[in-house]
Amino acid sequence: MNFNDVLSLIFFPVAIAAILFVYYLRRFPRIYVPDYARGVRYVGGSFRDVLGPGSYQNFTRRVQIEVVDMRPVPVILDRIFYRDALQSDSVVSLGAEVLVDDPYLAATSLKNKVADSLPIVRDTLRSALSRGIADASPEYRVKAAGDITGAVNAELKRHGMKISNVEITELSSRSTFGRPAIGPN
Amino acid sequence: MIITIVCLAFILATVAMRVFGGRPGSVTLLEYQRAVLYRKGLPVREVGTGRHLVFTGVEKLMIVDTRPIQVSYEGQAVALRDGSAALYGVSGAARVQDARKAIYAAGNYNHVPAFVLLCCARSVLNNCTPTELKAKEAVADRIMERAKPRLVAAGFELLSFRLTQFALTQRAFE
Repeated sequence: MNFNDVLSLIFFPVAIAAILFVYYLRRFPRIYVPDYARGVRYVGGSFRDVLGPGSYQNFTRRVQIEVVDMRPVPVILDRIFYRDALQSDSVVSLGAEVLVDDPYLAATSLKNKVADSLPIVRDTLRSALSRGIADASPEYRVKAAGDITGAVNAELKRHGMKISNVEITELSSRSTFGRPAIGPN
Repeated sequence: MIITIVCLAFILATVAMRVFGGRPGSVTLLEYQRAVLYRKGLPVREVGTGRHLVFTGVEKLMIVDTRPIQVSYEGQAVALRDGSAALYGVSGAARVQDARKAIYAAGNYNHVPAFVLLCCARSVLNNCTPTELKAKEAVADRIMERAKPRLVAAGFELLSFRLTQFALTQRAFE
């Protein structure tokens, strides 16, 4: 048996194996994780690690990667009514950004990361604001935005989410609601 | 023999490329599209209209549409500074100017103009009195002044803005 015979013997099995391997890989598309996302990797259904930016190729069905987008999602919470510390009816509106803080917690504890965070944000900001006296001054708005951010983040942290850039766009309380805005005519 | 060796090398190279690299492909961007080329998850450069070679698997083009994004909201309510309330509507348009900034601005960059315009409109109107609101154009200008820098920071250009509807009501709780 010379070298040519050996090569011929190797060629066909290797070629067939390579074609089968490439065909097999087609069932596992590459997972692409850009720098604004993270990949949560599960092996055999259990959490393994969090992947950074890159391109990942799975070779078995045991490994699953869930891509979690870490970019902020702008949300507007319109006209939330509450009672302040003096029991005055008040209304607040705010704009904020909801984003993922911990990809693993967010992926495993919330089905819809942003939509499921909003009730928590709404309830927490209502309770945070009801501890103070509503005041429409710019200083109070800044302070209230800070208080809301702290209180909401403490709640959302358990779900791997957070809010940032909270901006109070509307704040008013009952003490001023009673007055007519326009004259009798 | 040489042909066999070349074929074997080609097959093994194809497998190696499939596993460690990707396969060459191309993406054609239309005249209203811009994109950022990502390689191994990191942004490399911005690309414009035309056909671009992309190694699928290792590289990815994040495409951004630069056509104007229209914003139109009617029947919004806001409490004014004196405690009365107003109903208003806003209409505007913005488009992406910086693709890279727009991609990072939000999970869905199409939502940014509406978010900024609504926040700015409500914020300005909440600080106005009914008397100030009689000068509707001046109020719209104040909203635009506030919105423009925020949109630029997010990679957008404000094309137009106007208050479409405006009415004073007496009770803020409506």
